[in-house]
Amino acid sequence: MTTTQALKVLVVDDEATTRLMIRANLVRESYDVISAEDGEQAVALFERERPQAVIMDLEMPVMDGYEATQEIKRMAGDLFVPVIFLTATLDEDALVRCIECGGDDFLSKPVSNPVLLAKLSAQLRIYQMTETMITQRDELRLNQIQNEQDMRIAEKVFARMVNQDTSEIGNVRKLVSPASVLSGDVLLVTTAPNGSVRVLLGDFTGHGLSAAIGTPLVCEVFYGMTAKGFSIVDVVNEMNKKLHKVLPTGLFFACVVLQLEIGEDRLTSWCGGIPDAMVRGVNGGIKHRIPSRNLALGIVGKLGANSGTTSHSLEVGDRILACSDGLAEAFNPDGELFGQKRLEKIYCEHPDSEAAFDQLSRSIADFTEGEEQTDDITMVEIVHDGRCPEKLAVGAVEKEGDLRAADWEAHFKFGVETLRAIDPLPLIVQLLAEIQGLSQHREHIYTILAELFRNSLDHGLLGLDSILKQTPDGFEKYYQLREERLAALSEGMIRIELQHEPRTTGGRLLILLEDSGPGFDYGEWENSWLSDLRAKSGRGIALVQTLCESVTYLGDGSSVCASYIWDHDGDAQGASEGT
Amino acid sequence: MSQSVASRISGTDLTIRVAGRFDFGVHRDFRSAYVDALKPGMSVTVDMNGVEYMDSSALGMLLLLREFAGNDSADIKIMNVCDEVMEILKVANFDQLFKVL
Repeated sequence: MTTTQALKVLVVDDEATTRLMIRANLVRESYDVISAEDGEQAVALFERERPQAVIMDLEMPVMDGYEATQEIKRMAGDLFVPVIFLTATLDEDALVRCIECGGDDFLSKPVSNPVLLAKLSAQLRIYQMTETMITQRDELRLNQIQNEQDMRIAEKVFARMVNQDTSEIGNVRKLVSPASVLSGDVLLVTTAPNGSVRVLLGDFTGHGLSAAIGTPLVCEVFYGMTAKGFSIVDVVNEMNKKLHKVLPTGLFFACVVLQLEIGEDRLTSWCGGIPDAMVRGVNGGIKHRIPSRNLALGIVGKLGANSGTTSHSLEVGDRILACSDGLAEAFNPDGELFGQKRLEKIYCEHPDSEAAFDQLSRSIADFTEGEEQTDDITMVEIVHDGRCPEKLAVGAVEKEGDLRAADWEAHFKFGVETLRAIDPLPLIVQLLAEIQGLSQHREHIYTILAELFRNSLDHGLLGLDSILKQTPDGFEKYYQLREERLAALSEGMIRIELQHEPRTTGGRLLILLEDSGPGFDYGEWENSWLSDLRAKSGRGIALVQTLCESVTYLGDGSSVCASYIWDHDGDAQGASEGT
Repeated sequence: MSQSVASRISGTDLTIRVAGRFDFGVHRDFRSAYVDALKPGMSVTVDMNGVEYMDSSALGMLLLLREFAGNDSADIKIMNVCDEVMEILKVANFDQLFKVL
């Protein structure tokens, strides 16, 4: 109701003189006046004209003031429309009835003009206040409906995004308990092209929509870059860069990324701002702790130079547990914290390692019973069950019709600057996947290239010895040394040559790798990989042997040539299949 | 649990004292403790003597203070930290951004 519009008042009286007199007085005060002669007319007029106030005579023919007032109040609904009665009587019962039937005030006849005006403006103040409240209430209601709808849609979109990876990965268990409709916690599970399992557990500051807003970005980077074979550090750096750009100061994303290299019995991790993740041995106890060594993502534009990953050796049966801080920081009704120590005790001291995770879920539920959950709770357990990655599934893609494989070759040479700064493999594999026929073989080709490339770099250029990796301490030392030597590398190069030739049902890809290192005695090594293959298929180079038709070291051992034969229907012809 | 924020200036240092639970409940008070008082070239000391618990929104408030004080050029000390709060600061690796004493 704007103040520029005159307020409309309905005057109801069966006496024409009273009507005229009141009308004249109100018009002088700039009210817009409409009149009725009896209750029935008043009700009809009210319905048509919707005045803001009514001045009502009690005694009238056809329909009296009581009945008309009840009807008018019913029609006004939530809106407060004041009714002021005009009474000739001083009978108390009659006056009480005025108020009971919905009237708001009364005035005795003959009407005193100043009193009428005063009462009317007092009642209209209340009218305007309630009108404002109702308008606001309706806006709020609309907003709420809209908001709930948006939330529902957002929730659906998020659920699809976060669970892109619909194939359940057998050795990963999850518990997700959001504090509100949309969660600020993120739990993503996927497999890298080399068959290892990669998990991201993260927590945006706060909860609800403002916390969940960065989730799509995290999903996109994590799934997209992992599928292309990028390392954990690359993925984390990219997420940090993007989040720093979009998140306002004070909002950040604490997360831990865990990667289980099944064939190598190794856990690689990166943790920033999430409470210690832990590795529990088969017989209980904490075997390794994975402390937070980095800032959460989105706080600084560039992560520190020492924000590398950490490696831990694993044995079959080990379990890795990571939780968001909502778990340790849950309160019970007495205001007591659940706490990290209690969490570790329950999980690591449980005699049955299979049941420890469920026990932890139950304990937290019992502890916080009757207390409203204030933060999202998310936890994940990865079991190193020792099942070697099955022969890697070949990505299902649409048949490529009768496109003939082509005849081509390509050469790459990576100097020391490149080797220190980036991992060139994802880019090469990306390139190959675009070539007709080969996209279905992306994972195989990635595995072969990655394994050969890592051997050239680790052993050929950095002079690392795998024997180191056989003890748990040596294992961590190996990866620490690798980082140090790579940073200090001052000369060296790796050359990759790819040749492709069509065959009747598909093609053959020859991969030749050469490094500038001193080479090695591969005679002895070739015997060992055979025994390795028998002991444990799917470990490093043995896996390459099963995927390829042949793998041959040349000259002093600083060159290696692998031949990969493929068919249009996605089959590869490996050595293990008796070629 | 009662929460409070108080501040005082001595020379070129602004000391902000937080007491009780350090969480979103004090974000307005915490911000007004430095917005007008902090001038270029001043250092800040956040005295956590009375804080027994802080959550991640409090970490966010510290980051906002750091931004206001000039990000990398900010000179901010956090002192009198109890074990529980130290644990939270350690997990967040805030010693990379603040002097935690």
